[in-house]
Amino acid sequence: MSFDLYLAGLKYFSNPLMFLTSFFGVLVGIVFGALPGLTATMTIAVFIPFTFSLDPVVSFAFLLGLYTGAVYGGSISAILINIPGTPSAIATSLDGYPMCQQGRAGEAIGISTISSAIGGFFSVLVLSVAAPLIAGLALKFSAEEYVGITLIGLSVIAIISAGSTIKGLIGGVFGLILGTVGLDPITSFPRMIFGRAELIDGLDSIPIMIGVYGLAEMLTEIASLKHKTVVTQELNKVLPSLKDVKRLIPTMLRSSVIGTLIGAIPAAGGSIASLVAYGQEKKFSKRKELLGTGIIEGVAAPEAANNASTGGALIPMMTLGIPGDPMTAVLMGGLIIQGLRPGPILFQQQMPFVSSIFISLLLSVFFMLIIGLAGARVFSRLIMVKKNFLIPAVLVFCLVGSYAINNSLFDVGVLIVAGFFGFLLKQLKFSVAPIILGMILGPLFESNLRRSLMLSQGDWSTFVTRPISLFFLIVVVLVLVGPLVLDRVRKK
Amino acid sequence: MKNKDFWGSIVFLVVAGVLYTYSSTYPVKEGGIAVLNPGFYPKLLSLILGVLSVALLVTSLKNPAKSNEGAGVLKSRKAVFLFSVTLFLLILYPFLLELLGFASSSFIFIFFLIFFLTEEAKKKMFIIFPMALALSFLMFFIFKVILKIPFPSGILI
Repeated sequence: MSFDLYLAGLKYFSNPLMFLTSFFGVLVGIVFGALPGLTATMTIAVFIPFTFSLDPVVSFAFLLGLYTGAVYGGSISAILINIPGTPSAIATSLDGYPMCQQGRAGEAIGISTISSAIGGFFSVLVLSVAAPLIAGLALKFSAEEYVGITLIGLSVIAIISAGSTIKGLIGGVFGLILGTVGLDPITSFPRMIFGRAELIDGLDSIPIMIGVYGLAEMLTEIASLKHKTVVTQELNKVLPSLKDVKRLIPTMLRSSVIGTLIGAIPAAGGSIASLVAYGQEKKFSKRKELLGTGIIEGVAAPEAANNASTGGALIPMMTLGIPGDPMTAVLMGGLIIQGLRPGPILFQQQMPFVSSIFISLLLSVFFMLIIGLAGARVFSRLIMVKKNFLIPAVLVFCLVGSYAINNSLFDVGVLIVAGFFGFLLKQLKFSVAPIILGMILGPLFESNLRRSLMLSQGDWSTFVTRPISLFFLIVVVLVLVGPLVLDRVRKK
Repeated sequence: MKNKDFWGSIVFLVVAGVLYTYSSTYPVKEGGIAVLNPGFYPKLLSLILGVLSVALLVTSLKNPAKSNEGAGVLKSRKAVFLFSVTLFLLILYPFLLELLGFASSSFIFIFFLIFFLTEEAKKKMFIIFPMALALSFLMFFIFKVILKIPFPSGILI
């Protein structure tokens, strides 16, 4: 593996548009991530349709900027008003908000920014080294292995999603069912299209994602009458002292490793990473008894972890086509809309594009650091935007975004239906992430499942006679059954 | 009163049943292996969904009363009203878009939604109207002028 691999993407950066796009993406991402009620996943979903007309390299620079910015941005409202702007910032409020209450909000935001940058840088390094290696391995995978990996992704998300594992699995299977709409990949027989030409290529995942992540959120805000304004405080010093940063190095490094690893597990992402990192901080920190009272370690750990998970989550997404978390699931939509299929072939045939992704991610972490430190005071004002203006604006974004993908009012209809059902599912305490993952992985899963069975003449044992496939299936069983067994053991 | 999981499991059980029945009508290749038929995979999924739904049904009956931990949603008449208005405006929007064009339909949507979402005490037309106009103009500028999205041309702009 030569260094040329990484330099291949540099040629795109002679175009100043790349820097502008990345910067703008990070800025918009931070703003959206900071606003409570707008999640990082929703931000990416809403903006994907608008990247369609851009060149793939530029479009992905923007989306990665959004991704990096939004995951970080959630910490701003978590610290200032104890409402995480994104789920990956939940753990940040545990020490961030107490710091704010002590008049140290600026310091908290500064620590959050630097930790996020360290986590982000670390994960880009791991991504750029690990991804080509894993892609090389994945070239040896055949259909049975892909079935196994898809099942791992679905079982992980079933376990980690809110609500019981059974509900997570139901969601995943329902998502797979939604993925069957359209032409059968093997016989081209039209399934569940109900006579609509728009459904021949299947349900478009983007309006559905905007619906369940965007519309459903807004409907929930409205239905719970959560649209009053909040008040924040003035920010003093933002840049932390060198002494503080030195003290945080073990925390940031540990959390970066945790974040990258958890991000790399298919389907587990920023929110899990930040909670686990915080939990580990409680075990290993020198000041663990002070956690929760407002100490910098309590902000540094989750923030390093959640941004570290961004690079980690891109590993399975890019090398295998299996999203590392809900946000990368949506990012995958951004790749597919450009006609690019993630997986080992991407590394073989589009290495300059792949290396441009590594560079764009690095660039967005850098911009996040600058914008976060310089713009903290502005963002603290921004989150006071009145919801009665914000919600209609966001809804129009959702509506227009869905329309813009195929210039189709049918997609707007899909959006509204998905939004309504997303809202209902939230009330029934079903998580939507398994459904989305199932929908996205459905075609991959079906074609590989059927291909394996066709080649084995209908013999299901092909999945357990191949060693790697068997290994993956054992992992699936461990993931699903492990927590139950642990529970039993603990009760004894 | 049965809890939410019970009703959820019933819904998905019905979905599984309907899907199985519907997939059974797909053509079957005589003498070929089952996996080649278009109905194979949907039927497989519906069976798995059915089993999982039954499992959920059983657990919901074994652990009943965690039901009323609702997130405080739609708990008041005002909330139901606002929710219904929003849904109505959302459904109306595509029709308005086709009839009137982007700017007009977005203005109507934004104006009425801001109006209903604003608290009574702050419901001043001299704030709401210009804000709705400003937001609509911003949307028009971003989507029509900068991004050049080809909206349906209605009778207005």
